[in-house]
Amino acid sequence: MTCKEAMDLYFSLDQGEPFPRELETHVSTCPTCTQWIQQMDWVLKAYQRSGRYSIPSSMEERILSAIEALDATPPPAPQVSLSPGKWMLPGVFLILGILGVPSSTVFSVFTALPGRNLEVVVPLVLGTTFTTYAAFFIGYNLEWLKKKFLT
Amino acid sequence: MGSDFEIIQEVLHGKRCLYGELVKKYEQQIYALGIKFFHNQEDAEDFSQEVFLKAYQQLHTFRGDSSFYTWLFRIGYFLGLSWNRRKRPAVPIPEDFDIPESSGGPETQHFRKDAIAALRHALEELPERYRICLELYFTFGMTYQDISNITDIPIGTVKSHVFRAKSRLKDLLTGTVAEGPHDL
Repeated sequence: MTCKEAMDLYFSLDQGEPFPRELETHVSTCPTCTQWIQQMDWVLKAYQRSGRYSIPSSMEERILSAIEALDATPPPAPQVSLSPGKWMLPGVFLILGILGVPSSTVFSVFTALPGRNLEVVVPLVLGTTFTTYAAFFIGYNLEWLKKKFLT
Repeated sequence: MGSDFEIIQEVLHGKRCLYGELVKKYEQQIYALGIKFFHNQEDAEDFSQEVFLKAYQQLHTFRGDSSFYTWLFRIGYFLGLSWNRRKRPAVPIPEDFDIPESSGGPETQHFRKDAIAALRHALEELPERYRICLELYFTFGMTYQDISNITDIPIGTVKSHVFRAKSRLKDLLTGTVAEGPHDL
């Protein structure tokens, strides 16, 4: 084994990995490699030690207080989440209802009364209801809609 | 007290105060990781708190496949990378730096100290992701496998980075070894 091969083998060793036999044999007969390895080991050990820092005395207390505060906070109320499919069901009924208004007799009682013209009020109420529904539907399912139509 | 895994089981079964044992055990290392990321004490303290809080919140997901130490470092590694942009300016940090006993004259000692500083400087020049990967090896004494598990960097890449860093260190130490008949 050449010195270069020995050093390459030494460089590739993992933490705490024992020297392979061929490296050990080489090092035992090569004072230069022995010296290199000693130097490297010394520097690496010193570098490791240089990475020790005094932690602020209050840090542990600070961490534990933060955890206590977290424990004391009541868990958030579970959110009712409906799947997009369940969201669409009332929408379908709503649209069917709106489409069915002209052929419906539900309002005949009102329209029979003199001076009760519902031509403006009914579309207004239904339009507002549908717009509100659409706004909630989009708001609650934004991510799903994005995935479905924008990607 | 029992192993980390046993402590975690106890914490999950309601003995929450035992989490303090884990904080006490690893706060030094997590703080040091924070210093490696941000180079200032304030950020390192905020970082340590956040790592332990996150770990506490995710404790139920710890399966014990790896050590708690590795798991905690994984949380710290990704948090550190994501916080990188918001860091404050670097401030010199006092180190508990005790040079190991060694043989060698003052000149050799001087060379070695320079090599440590140069190694640190060489690591500073690397992209954050790889720099921390090398710090995990050189400062925290982690194995290639642990580093790969923590960082999601393939083990071969970790090995080659460590190899290159060691070769660089050897170059930095040129002059400290009296070269004999040597075929390097």
